[in-house]
Amino acid sequence: MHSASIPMISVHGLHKRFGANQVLAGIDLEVERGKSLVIIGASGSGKSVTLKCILGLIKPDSGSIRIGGQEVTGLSGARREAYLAKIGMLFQGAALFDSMSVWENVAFGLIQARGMPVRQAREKALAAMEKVGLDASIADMNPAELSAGMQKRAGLARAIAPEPEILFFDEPTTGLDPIMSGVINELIVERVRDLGATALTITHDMESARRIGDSIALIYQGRIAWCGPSDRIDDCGEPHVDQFINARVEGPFTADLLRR
Amino acid sequence: MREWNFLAIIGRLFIGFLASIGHLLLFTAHTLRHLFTPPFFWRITFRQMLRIGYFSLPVVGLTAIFTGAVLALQIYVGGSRFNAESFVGQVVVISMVRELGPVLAALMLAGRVSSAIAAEIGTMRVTEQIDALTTLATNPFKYLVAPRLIAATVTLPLLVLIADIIGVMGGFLAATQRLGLNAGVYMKSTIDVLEMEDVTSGLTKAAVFGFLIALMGCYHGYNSRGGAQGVGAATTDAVVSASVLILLFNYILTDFFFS
Repeated sequence: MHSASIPMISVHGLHKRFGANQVLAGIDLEVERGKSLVIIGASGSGKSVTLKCILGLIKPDSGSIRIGGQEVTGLSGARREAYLAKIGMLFQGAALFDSMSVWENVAFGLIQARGMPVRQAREKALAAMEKVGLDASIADMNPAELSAGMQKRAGLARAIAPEPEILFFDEPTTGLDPIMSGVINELIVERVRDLGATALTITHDMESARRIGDSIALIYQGRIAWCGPSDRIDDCGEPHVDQFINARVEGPFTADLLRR
Repeated sequence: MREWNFLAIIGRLFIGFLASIGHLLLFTAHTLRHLFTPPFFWRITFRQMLRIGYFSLPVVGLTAIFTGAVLALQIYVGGSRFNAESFVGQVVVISMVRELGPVLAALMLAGRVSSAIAAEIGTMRVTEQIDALTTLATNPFKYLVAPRLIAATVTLPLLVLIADIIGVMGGFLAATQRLGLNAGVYMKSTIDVLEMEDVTSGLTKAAVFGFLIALMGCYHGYNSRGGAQGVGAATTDAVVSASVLILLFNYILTDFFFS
């Protein structure tokens, strides 16, 4: 099979339970190379757990996760590091290292994982910061001195600096004002396009989902309830999607909540 | 039924205790594996040595000088009941080098260092910085845990050596300035009674205590959950468990060296 026809991210039958709580009950999803999938869903629906399973931060109970056709569940040592070197991740709170300056954060993956000389890594870090609209004058500042929006952009610069094949975004616009959310959405779209990367985003911000995603999947009760092109979501006819995207108080989500 | 409930509670606590021991042993084994395999982060290790060792010097020094001085006063009072005032210097040096130097320095560092490590790593855990390290293809055990363990294990014996000297000097000052003992006789008796085994046993204890202090800080910080409250609990647990383990291993090592 030609590598272009193999999905870049392929998840099948993913299960995860925490005690009595079955969080994932058979997640199936695929993301084509160079495409962007956004997973939406209510709080506690398993979006973050799905993402952390794919990243290898949580071990699933069962199921398969393939990246570029290669099984990555249970990878360890050098093979796991080789997989991680292909990815970039923007965390919800940016997760910048507060013991380092902004440029050291952005250059971290280049220096530690790629073994790039510090001077060269600093130049690449400054270039990545420029791409996300961060001025070189803040390079030596501590992350705590930055606003939430600037921290998000620094986190994005850190994710794109090593030019990864796959980018993951965890709630990229949470906690930001609408204008900064729009800026972050645009930056994500532009940078993903520049890199030709595959992107997987989790969010419950519909504005963000429509802007970032080529396709959108709704996760509900540990399964994918609907998945399709983002421009088809408004008339997909799926009641859960309908309630979620229109923020209706009444609907299947509410009925389930009341039953619990 | 009530007795059964009581037994069930004890059983659950015991199983929980065993699970905690198992979890800690697995963490230790995992840590040891990464301690001896590359890559090594020497710059971070050196920075940790400065934080753990150099910046702990004042607190360890103050503890040692007052302990040595008090020891001299107490031994003089106790010794005078048996006409044994001349043994003050000998008892001070043996007590400081074998026991009080390593144990008190370690307990002070359990409060200062173990808590700081737990708070730092715990905060990194709850703010997803450890997850970020992992996604940047950097093993947190190698990058966070191993440098702190190496730094504490190497640094504590050096700190204890300094504490021993300061403690003996504290005893010397109290004995000569307060009790009026002869300075030359005091120093001669101190040097004559000291054997190499006294020093090496104390420094070996210090290395073990250093390892335990960093291990408890890293373990509780790495496994902290639930935001600020979780980090606070991890910090307390790190200090308490490090202190208890220091006293437990002090007994085990003393028994090993001297019985």
